[in-house]
Amino acid sequence: MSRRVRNYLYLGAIVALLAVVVIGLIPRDVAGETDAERAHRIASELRCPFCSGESIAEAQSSIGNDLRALIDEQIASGLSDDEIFDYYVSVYTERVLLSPPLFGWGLLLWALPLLLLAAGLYAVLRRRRRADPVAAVASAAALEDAKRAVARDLADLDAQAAAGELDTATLARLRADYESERDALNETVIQPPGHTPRSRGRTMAGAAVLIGGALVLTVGVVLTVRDRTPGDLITGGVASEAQSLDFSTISDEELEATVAANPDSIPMRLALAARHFNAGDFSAALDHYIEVLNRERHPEALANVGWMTFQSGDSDNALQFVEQSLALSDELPLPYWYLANIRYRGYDDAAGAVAPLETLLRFEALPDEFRAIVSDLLAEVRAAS
Amino acid sequence: MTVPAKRSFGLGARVAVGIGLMVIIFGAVFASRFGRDPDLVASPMIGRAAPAVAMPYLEKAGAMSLADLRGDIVVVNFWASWCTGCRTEHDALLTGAAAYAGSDVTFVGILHQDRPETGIGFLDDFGRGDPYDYVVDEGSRAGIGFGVLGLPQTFFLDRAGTIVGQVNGPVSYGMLANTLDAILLGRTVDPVTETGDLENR
Repeated sequence: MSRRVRNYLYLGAIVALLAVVVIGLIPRDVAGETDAERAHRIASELRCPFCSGESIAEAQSSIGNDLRALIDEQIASGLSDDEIFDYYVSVYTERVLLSPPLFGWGLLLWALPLLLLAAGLYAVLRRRRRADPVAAVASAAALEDAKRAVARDLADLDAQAAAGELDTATLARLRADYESERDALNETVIQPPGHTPRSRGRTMAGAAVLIGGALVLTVGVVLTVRDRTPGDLITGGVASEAQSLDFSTISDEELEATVAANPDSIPMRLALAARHFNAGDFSAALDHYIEVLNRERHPEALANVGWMTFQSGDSDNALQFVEQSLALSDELPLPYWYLANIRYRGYDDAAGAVAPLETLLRFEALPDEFRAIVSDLLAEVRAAS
Repeated sequence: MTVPAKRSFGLGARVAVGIGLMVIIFGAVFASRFGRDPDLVASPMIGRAAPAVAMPYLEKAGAMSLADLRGDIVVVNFWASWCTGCRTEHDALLTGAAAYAGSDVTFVGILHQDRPETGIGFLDDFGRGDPYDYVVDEGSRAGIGFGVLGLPQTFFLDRAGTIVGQVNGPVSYGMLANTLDAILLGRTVDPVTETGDLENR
């Protein structure tokens, strides 16, 4: 078989294989579909968002039924395929599509086989054009084969030329090709089997690549396996209360304005009142706490009003406020502190101050400084009672 | 004395190096994806108008649509009796509904992928919010419209009916209060917060 015939056979085989692939990719005829077939086709191209790895067409769950019903309805209302797909992409993102989309990264995915094919063809053509038999010939025997093949090709060419089958231009081109191939082969010297010692530099470079890769892998694995915290490099699956709104970043004026605009927002008014309370501006704090108490008997408001009442010298009413606060909630620490102080300093009742202080020390979240103060007072009232 | 000839690398060594290089390339590709949780998708819902779907009330006659609530700040919570995360967050939602009742904030609980009877049973066991609108997601139209991927999921709507925030997983009272305060203050809200896995039946 001549080289040319062989080449045509190869080319034919490649074209046949590509044709199979292309025919497989041609969309089915969608013209004669019924609505039910169309709905099934659309449903089988969409991922069921609740289920794992199933299309909407396959999903047996009730959400699958609901989604199929919606597709039926969308078809009945005259939406096109693209409009229906666009709707699900707009709601569930492109992850809902079972085939990668023909744009962005999806396009790259589709184009990759074609790009690889093109690169392969380019490599083959380049290699042929260079007619570089030196690289192709690995052993003396193969070299001899190659020399014989070129000689045969030249003889074929002479025969075809004699028979007048080829025009002058083709004849000259082919002859030049074959002769340059023959000359190259004649100049080729087969290296005796042995070793081409690898250079030290390449060995070092290879080792460096391996070590670098191992490092990247290790860091990646460690980062993935360890516990995550909010604001981490690796995100997700972590409650991010830490990112939540921090009242301390809001100016007094802004908070006042917002509370004035939303007079019934209790959490914000409490934050504002606490700010005045902590700053020692009791009259401003009291106004806001009274606004809160007009709307809701809030334990924090009751306790802090009690404490301000005690500071003003009215122990009886102060005690009532604090006791009401504790009756509503036993989860706040400060009311216990107020109760102990009012009993001890307002009523000289040292024994009555012991229990609330003991309760207070059982709170885990107390700041250390405050815990020390509470402990000191507890020691004092125990000694006094 | 004979010096052993220095051997070139054989086929085995080349295959080993080839496999090593493949491992490195795959490792680098995977490692480059470690920074992102594959479950975490940027929500396409933020900044969009809430879907206007008519939803029948769970325990009384009539129906409502989120479009009726324009002008109010709305907390939309998708829940079901089979969802354990919904039990976790239930108290936080009831507390939030009571605390923000006077601030033009409306809480809407949408019973999703569940039967009304079992939903009512859940409320009998764990309590009802006051004020609180409980509605049924018939045919999952609201859930699909909100792109719900599992329960519980909570969405925050501003006064114009635009979705400004989303929590995937159970909400806490702190999260509710902070987000609502931010909307009341006219500040931008964290668009998507992840607090745990979304459950599916």
